[in-house]
Amino acid sequence: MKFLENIALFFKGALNFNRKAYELIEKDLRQEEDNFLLAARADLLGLNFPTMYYMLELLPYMVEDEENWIKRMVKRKSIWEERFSDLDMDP
Amino acid sequence: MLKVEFYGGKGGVGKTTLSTARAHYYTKLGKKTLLVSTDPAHSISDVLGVQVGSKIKGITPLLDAIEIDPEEEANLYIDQIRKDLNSILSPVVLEDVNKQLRAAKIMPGTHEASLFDKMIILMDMYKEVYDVMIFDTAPTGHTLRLLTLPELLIEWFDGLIKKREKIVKLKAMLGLKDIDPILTRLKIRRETFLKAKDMIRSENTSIHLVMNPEKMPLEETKKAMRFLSDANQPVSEIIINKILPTNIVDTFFKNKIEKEQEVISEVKSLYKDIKITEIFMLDQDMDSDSLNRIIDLL
Ligand SMILES: Nc1ncnc2c1ncn2[C@@H]1O[C@H](COP(=O)(O)OP(=O)(O)OP(=O)(O)O)[C@@H](O)[C@H]1O
Ligand SMILES: [Mg+2]
Repeated sequence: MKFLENIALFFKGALNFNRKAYELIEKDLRQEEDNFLLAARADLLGLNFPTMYYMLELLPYMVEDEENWIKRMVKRKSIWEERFSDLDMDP
Repeated sequence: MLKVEFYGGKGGVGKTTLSTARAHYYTKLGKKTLLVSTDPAHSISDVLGVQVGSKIKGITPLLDAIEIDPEEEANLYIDQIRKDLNSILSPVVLEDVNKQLRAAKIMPGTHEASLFDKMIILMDMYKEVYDVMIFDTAPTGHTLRLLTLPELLIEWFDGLIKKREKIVKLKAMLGLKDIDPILTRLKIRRETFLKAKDMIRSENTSIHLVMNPEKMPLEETKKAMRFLSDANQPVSEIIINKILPTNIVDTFFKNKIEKEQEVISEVKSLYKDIKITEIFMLDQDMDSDSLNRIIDLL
């Protein structure tokens, strides 16, 4: 009996762990996507490198990410929430 | 193996005249030659006596010429992106992106990049067609500065590719799509810049600085030499143009001639390993006859 319970607990834990891991990776992904867009669109920071010219051809593939990115930038709070939720900063 | 020559120097020193003369010089050796003007204020049409334009034009059986129009090249590139976007975006977003694209046509760096791209395309696409490609550049650094662009761009693209690869890896871990068109494009671009770097660094590519025999232009030339040597881009030849003939006996010119000869001596002693070519000031306007006289001096 104890044995089966343990197995059940084990799987529950594993599933929980998977979900947690998934969320963490998702968070990493968000962050990396933000980093990428920021770098690729450095013109927003006033860098007038000819690099921007070459970034234009990525626009057709970036618009989707970018829309989400802009939405998240607008709701800036959510970025910080996302990023820092795993750090226990509450008093 | 395609030979590529860049002619640079300050405004009015004779870049267009000398690059055109060199182009003719090579055709006389039986080499199929393309003369390329990268100066927006195109003047090879005037020297050649034929309207050239932004498509390759035959001048003589062995000589072709083209005047790159950076604005036209940038428009072609950006309009293609606009077309690609048209099919995938909602009208509202499209309007917004169109605004960005219109701004991009005039943003700093656009014409440098479109000029650079066209230069690379010419060098790569026609490497089997021509024996020699001669670039007449705009006054001052500009085009010569472009030669150091691949290094900058490769570094920048390496950084972006690394970032993008991380994203792709994370997406794969989440079981999301694993082909990433952005990564593909980034890699294609990096390939192009690596190729450009190889072509520019090749020992078949050379830089030729034109100057006049005066104190100020000498300082400018020294500066350009320093910049290019810092950029690891050695100069093969310095052409001193519009030298007063030393056989003038007029006392008015005597002093000037002496000064010029001093500058010439200084150039020769400063740059012992570099070919120094001296071209005399002609006593007539530039026409096919005077151009021939210059060709003979090369
Ligand atoms: N050796 C020479 N003797 C006499 N005139 C010359 C000589 N070389 C060039 N010129 C004249 O000097 C003027 C400037 O020459 P050219 O247009 O070749 O210079 P450039 O460096 O290409 O100028 P830009 O910087 O404006 O492109 C022209 O009128 C040309 O005919
Ligand atoms: Mg010129």
